Amino acid sequence: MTLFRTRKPMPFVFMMVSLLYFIYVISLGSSTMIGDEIGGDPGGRLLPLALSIFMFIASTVLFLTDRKGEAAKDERLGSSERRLFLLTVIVAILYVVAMRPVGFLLTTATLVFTLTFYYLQGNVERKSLKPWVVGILATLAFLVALYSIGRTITRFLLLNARQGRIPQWLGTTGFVVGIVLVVVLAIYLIVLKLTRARFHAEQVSPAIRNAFDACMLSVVTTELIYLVFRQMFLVELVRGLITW
Amino acid sequence: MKRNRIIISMLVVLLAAGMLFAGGAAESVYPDPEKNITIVVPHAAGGSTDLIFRTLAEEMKKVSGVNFLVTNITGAGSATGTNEVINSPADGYMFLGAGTHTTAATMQGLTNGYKELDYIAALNWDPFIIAVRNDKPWKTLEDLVNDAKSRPGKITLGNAGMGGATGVASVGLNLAMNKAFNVTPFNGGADLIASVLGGHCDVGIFSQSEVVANSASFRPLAILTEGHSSLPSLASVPNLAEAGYPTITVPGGSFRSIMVKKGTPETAKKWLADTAEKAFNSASFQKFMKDNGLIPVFSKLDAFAEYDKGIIADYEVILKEANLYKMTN
Amino acid sequence: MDVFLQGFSQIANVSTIIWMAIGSVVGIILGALPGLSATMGIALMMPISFQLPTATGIGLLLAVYCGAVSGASIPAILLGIPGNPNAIATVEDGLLMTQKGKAGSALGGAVVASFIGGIGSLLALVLFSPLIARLTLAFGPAEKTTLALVGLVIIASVSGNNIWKGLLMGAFGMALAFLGTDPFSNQLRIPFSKFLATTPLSKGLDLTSTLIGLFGISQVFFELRKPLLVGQHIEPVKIENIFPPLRKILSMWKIILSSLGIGTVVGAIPGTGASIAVFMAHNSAKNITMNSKGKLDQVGSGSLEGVFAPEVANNAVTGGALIPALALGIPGDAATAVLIGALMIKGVTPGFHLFATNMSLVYAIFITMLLANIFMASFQLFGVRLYPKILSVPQQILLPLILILSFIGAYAIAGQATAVGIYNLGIALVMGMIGYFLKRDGYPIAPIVLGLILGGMFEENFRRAVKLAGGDYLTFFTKPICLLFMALSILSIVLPIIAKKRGKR
Repeated sequence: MTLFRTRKPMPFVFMMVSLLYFIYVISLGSSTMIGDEIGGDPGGRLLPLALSIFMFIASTVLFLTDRKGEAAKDERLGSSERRLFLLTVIVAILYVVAMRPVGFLLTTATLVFTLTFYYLQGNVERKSLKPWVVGILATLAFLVALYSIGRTITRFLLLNARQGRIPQWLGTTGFVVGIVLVVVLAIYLIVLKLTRARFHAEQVSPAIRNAFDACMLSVVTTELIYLVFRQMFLVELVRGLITW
Repeated sequence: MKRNRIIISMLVVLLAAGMLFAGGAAESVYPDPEKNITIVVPHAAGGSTDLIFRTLAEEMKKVSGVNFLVTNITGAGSATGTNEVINSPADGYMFLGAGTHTTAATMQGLTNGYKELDYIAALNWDPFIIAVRNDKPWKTLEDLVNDAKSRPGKITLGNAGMGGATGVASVGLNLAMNKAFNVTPFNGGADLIASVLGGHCDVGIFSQSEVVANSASFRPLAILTEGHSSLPSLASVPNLAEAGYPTITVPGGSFRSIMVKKGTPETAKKWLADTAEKAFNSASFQKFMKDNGLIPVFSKLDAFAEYDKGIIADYEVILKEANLYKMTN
Repeated sequence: MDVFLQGFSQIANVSTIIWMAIGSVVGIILGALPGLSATMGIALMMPISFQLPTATGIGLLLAVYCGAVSGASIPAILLGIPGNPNAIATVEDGLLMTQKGKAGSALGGAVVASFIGGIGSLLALVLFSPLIARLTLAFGPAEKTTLALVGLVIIASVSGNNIWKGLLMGAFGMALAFLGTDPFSNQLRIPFSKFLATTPLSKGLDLTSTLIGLFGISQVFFELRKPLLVGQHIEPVKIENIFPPLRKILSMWKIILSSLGIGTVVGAIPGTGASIAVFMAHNSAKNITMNSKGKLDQVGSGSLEGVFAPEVANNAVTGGALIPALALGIPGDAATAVLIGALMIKGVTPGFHLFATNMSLVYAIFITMLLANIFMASFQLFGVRLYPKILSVPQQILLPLILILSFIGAYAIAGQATAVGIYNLGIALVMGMIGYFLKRDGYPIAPIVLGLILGGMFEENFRRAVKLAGGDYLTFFTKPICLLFMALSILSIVLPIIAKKRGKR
């Protein structure tokens, strides 16, 4: 890889990309407009071909001219930054993959908790695994509890309003979201108030305090996103393991 | 450590209480009040098809209280939007703004179209009109055709998208005129109007409502239906026979309807059909149709399926003649 | 008048006011946080606007846009770090004023300046966009093709330090736009089409998810390269004398007018943006103060003049950039590119037809733009002591939030279709990674966005133009408007190169 000692890898990547794109477009075959009896349509292949050639030229020029400067040498990341970066990439990929089987609530809370916790820690180390496990369990339990309460209120209002046991307006989206928001936030704030002083006391180790902060942040974030997008805007969030 | 235990037990109680409450049997009624219903309009926003379905969606929302969302998914005539509906679950929460464009796209082999769709409601017809900008030299259709035949391929005839009904109509016309025109597809009615007004395209096949909206700058040459327009301002426009071309058969207008994916539950289909009927009969939708010269032909479910058989039979002849029929069963 | 009232009634409701107020505050906060751009703010709010009525949704996005442009001045003045590129030129005098103990009047002056810039450019928007929309009837497929080309080439040449990088990114964006189905034949144009034909990818990349990935997620990765900031510790500065005296403002009329003009015009040129306008305004103000014979304080010496000039200009860009966006569907900058994307999702295609048939919506957009400026000014003035506290939110908390909001935004745009939503998450993540590597190596992102948005328009109109001409490619050289645009494209490539050569000598 001596080639890359003085040259940057990105133009080379784009040279490859445009080459593959060119081969792909060639293999694609051209297609013309429907009902083009008279002719004159340039076809669907011309512009992609021109683009791939242009991209190849541009990236070749960059490859030849855009060399690494002196300043580029100290671009290596520190080890803790590199670990946090890798953690973020892995967690993000897992989030996308696990969303469907596990469901929106659990994956989102896990993502926010994990990232906040390790960012607050400033590094990814083995010894912080235990507070992470405890914290994630507490987060999920608290979140599921809040969600279940909100869900119960929603279902009660919607069903009864539709069957005419309570006035219609009690079952409107705006009212339901408002009530659920107030109840859920009230419970959240009470729990926060009761526990915060305990976990922010002097003798508590920083790891546990960070786990607590991350837990509280991820619960409230996830629940609020759920309320706004699912309850207010009726976006279908994947249920996954939480089937009720 | 005592407080620790209190906190944990508090959380456990909360969790248990929540699960207990929520464990009750889920009731499945259509439509779920926690869901939106999406209408896929397979044409660009701003055209006449789009306008009709947006107006209908507004009325359906009013009569049912359910949230109806319109999304425009354009491409390949109307095939891309149609495929979107076909590839979605058959749960009744997405339906297609269908019509003759669906018939045309299906027969051209662009999508499985009506073969994989169920009938909900037939709505209306919007007649097609051939028009030019009013400062162009052609006063009648005959003028135009004679000019086109004298210099083949030089006069451009635009349509609102090749897969759709105006596309079929323009190809059919052109074949009957010995390919005298250069037929070019545009991205929906709005794009075609601007191009004809701007002089970039000479002739266009428009929906009647599009001609009405721009009556000051268009000169209608012929209406493609058998009769005449129900709008006073366009009643004098000759039909093809009167314009001197009695033997040409092309789609005379675009028909709009609602269809869902095959396999949608009967209750959902019935609910949708009934809601569409209420919305269709509402005063504001009736007024909208009258103002735009749309010809109402409401029927629903099985009656609509029967009605569509007639349209399919007509189209098969036209498309085969225009050499566009590419459907494989 | 009737149409105007119709437009007014579209936004005269409580929900519009509330959403715009929220948008304004969110915009100011996003603008104030270093590293979060106006474009990213709009991209993040797009899924919410998608769920609202058209006028309300656009109002929300405009509020975010105006707020973010103006909010960027807060950290620029207090810390000397611009919240986003809009405030680059505000740093010099703003920081000096803070050091002199005049932080209050710098912050207040920035708000007043932003308001003047916003309202002034709104006037230009109201006056000129309908005229330009009329002119666009002269724009057929051939002209639209070359217009798209100009927009792409200009942004490629002005963003980043290397024109080849800009052009390569523009081409890359266009290549991404071509994925999906051929608009004229329905042929699939995606690799591995056997596997992907039945997935949402067969429609091409989802625009919103791609934008959110390129602007939101990539930024999170990018921030992780440095040690995370534990919140900025701001020395408690006295914030007083917020409102600049009217006489002082009036004495700066020359600066205000020149900055207003520069901002509006630069904003209206497709592809350019605030980062150019602010420097031009700053330079012009420097000349004006030098020739003022001592009546005005010198720019660069920690003067209100030096804050006013760029702050008027950057908010003037907002109105200016909307002129081509609404009248032609060609974005003035990356933020308006995203805005056009949002309009198209709502079923509104900018251009002549919008002005001809849906003038009430156009009026509604104008009014929301006015409201957005009023909200921006009042919220930023009332909260002038509060916003500095935003800067103390640690990045450790901010970054996970941005990541999750980016994900949920990409997902939510799919609405009911969860399968599509999951694909969108994937698109956003992959685009985030690509965006990160490109940013790291100094490749500009804005040309990709323009390529994505203009690519489809370019191809469709190119093929239509050639078809209309019966297969004659020379049709582009027979039309005066096309020739003009092509000359502009060539100039915008050649001029920077010449300027660079001169600079080296």
